[in-house]
Amino acid sequence: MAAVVSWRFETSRVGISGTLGRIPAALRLVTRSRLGAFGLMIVVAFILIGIFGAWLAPHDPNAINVRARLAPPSWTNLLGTDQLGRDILSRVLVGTRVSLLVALSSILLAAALGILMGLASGYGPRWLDRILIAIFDTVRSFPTLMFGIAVIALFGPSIWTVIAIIVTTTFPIYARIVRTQTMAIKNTEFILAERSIGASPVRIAFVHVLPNIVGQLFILASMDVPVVIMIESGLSFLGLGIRPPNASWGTILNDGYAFVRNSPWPVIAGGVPLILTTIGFTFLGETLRDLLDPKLRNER
Amino acid sequence: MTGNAFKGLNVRGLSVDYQTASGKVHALRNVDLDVPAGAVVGIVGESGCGKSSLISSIIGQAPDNAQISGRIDFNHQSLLELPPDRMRDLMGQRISVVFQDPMTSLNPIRSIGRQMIDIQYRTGRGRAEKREYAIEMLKKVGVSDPADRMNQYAFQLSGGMRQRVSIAMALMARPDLLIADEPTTALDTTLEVQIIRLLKELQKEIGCSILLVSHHLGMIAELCDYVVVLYAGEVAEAGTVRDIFHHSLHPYTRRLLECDPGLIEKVTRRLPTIAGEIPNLLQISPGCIFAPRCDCAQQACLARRPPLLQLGPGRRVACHRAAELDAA
Amino acid sequence: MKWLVEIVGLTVRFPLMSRFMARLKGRDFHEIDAVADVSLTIRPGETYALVGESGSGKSTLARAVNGLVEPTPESSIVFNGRDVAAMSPANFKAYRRQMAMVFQDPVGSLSPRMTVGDQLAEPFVAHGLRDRDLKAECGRLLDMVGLPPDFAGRYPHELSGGQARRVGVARALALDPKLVIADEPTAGLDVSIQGEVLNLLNELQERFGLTLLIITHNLHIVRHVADRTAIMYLGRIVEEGPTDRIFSAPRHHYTRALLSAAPEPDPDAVRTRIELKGEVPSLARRPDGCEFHTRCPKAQDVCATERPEETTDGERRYRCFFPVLHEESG
Repeated sequence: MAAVVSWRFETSRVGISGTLGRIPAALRLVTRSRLGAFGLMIVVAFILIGIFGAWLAPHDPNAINVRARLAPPSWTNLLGTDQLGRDILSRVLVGTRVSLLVALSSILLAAALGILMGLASGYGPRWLDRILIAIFDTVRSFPTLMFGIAVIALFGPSIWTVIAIIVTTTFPIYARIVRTQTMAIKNTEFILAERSIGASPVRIAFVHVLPNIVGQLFILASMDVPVVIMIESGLSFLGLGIRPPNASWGTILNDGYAFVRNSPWPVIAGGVPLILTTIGFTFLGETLRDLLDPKLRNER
Repeated sequence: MTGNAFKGLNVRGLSVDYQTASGKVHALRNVDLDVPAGAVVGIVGESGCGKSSLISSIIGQAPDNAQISGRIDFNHQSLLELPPDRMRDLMGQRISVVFQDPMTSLNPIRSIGRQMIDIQYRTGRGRAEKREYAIEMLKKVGVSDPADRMNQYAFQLSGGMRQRVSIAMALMARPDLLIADEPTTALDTTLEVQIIRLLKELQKEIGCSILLVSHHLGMIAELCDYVVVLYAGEVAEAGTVRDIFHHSLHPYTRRLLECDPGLIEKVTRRLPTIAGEIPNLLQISPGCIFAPRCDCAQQACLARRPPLLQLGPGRRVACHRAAELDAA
Repeated sequence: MKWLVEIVGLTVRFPLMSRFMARLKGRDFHEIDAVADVSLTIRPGETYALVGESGSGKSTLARAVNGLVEPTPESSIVFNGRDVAAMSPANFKAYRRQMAMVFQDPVGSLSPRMTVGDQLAEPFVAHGLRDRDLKAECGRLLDMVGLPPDFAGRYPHELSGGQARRVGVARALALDPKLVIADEPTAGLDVSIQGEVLNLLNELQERFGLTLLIITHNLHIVRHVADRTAIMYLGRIVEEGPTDRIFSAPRHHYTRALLSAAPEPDPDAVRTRIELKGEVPSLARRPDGCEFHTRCPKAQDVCATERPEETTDGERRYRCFFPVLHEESG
């Protein structure tokens, strides 16, 4: 009865999976709670702006107009201008795409890597499990920003370096969760039944274990998005992420920080989206988690 | 033994509905039940009969989406109208519960001794006294090496042991009423008989009433004085244990007894069953609730609710054809 | 052939901790034998019941036969003429199609996110038989267990216990097995519908000539459905024989106690109950001599020091120095 969309590999011809048909029902359940509805709204807005931001932007985000530098909000520049006269609103809108790109790709990659290694660890032989745990724990112990700085010092800053850093430091979290859930499911009767039928371990792992634990991953991912965006923004704020003149919330914050005495607007404009997305994703994630929690299901 | 004489548990017209996403589930409908002082009353019913709703309503643990109407009087005091703190007092001292899964009542992270001493907090006893009493109770329920067990944790004990400890804890306060919800369903038969014997002895000694819910007919037959048969949320039949087992009148009770493999004398490969399923409790049909599965149902049975025939003190049957079937 | 299943010296050993840890902790044991040196045979077409309480090893034995747990190398499980315990995993996979298991938890043994239809198709897919018309096979299997074809679209949580059980049986029959192992087929089912699954198994047995191995602790149903019965205690078989003889004249005292333990659904029944002392000993510390002696009402000195030899009496086997010799009924 999960409200979360669950996907599984289409491996047999019988019984077309009804999971796609369950999305409307899932959405309805999420929107029942006010927090969930609010969170969902923000998340959807984030995604839409991320995709269409460049077209929505009223001005060219990189157009320099020094005469109008650090202007307060006006009808032409709804959020004012930064130190080079660039329209902040446009930069925020375009920067959303960066955040979306970074968030989506790093989380997808981290989750994919985490799933593969978590499944192998949870379902495979014990020696493999021991090796993998050692890897997870070691990687997890790197302090993220320090690690990030070190990597960037080696490879130079770029959006791909940022993604690589995030994937490396977050995949163990996914792997750990997948591993624990796999181990919990491993000895349930239906897995035993599948083994009894003669299904191969790979099939069991992907067709039977994974769909049943993927719900937890959605929640984790949802809560992880703000963290990832923060990391990217943090790195960009330090000047180690997105290179100028490209816009990202972090660079807007960075620029604004230097000129905060002249105009508070850049900092506000760079910070508010961060706060909103964090709130939005967290609310959504918590609503999903509550929905998936069997103990809170009172309706029989 | 408690100071004032216990006057029994009386349930009148108890109905429980659950508001769910698919509609209103009428889990219990107009149930009457009496547990006199010192008597053992058994509730027989299969899945969907409403026994969990009954128990949870009595002990005040009904889920939030439950709508309860009717009366539940404990010692002439209405339980449904009791404020939560008074209910808690009652639950600890006058009413005790033993559940199917002993792990529900036992705290996994505290030692048995710790729990058994803690639940005596309302008595005026000193620590040493409480410990002594706990050990004595453990001895009484047949737990070996009781003094050592006090330091053990629930997971270190076997299922049978755990259930004994739960019973010990439930009876420590010498309650007026012990509610046992499927206490032996999770146990092997050899353990079940030990628990049955235990409950019998303790009940005689303490003189409490017992409300026993079980679908193990053998246990009901051995322990109970009175039996109430529940089907799909209604009382099908009620009476003394002999009435129910030897002179059952409701077709459901009769068929149920027929299905029990322990009662079937001749070895057979084709075991009797009751065809069909319990009805959907979202839409209650106008007729007798058992009629769709009854092999002696007639037109009247499908059309009208059967009256609750009162055939003597405590003897009730809800069946249109009870009288004629009795004569047959 | 004479036997469909021939098991000799089957032992299933589980490590509790490594030998090293055991030495560190000063324990003299580090592993337990959930199944200890069991030998039995099952004839084609018969219904064989394995009876025991929790911890007796009956489920583990069934799982060992089905390849879900590994027996020790000395164990021999010969199924349909081939030693399956010694087979390589690749060969075993193909051989596995000849036996199927119906699990205890009806809803829990079905994959929660799969429809009934997909679930029934699993055996075919798992063995790479994609050329079959899966939809038709599903329909056939559902029909075999008396469920309407539209059940194929339902999810496990939408099924009642009885319906889920039937789906489990249908799934077991998918690849036309010779042996069906039913682990507690009536557990969790109301008394009024327990007969359904047993009648179904019986009917399918007659139709397809199946051999049934039933694992249960419910002696009442064993009396009705099994041709031969074996009683297990602490991982060993203590008595085995034709069901009617076991029930009418049990030889081993554990059997006798089990038979007398079932509560009678009759308030006036005279209960001569044989009560066993104490509790089942831990598998890690097996008693010396006859392992049942710690609880046996008739134990004597020799029972504590020596293990009785197996006595064969016609079709019956049991191990007891002082068996029940009168023709008493339990």
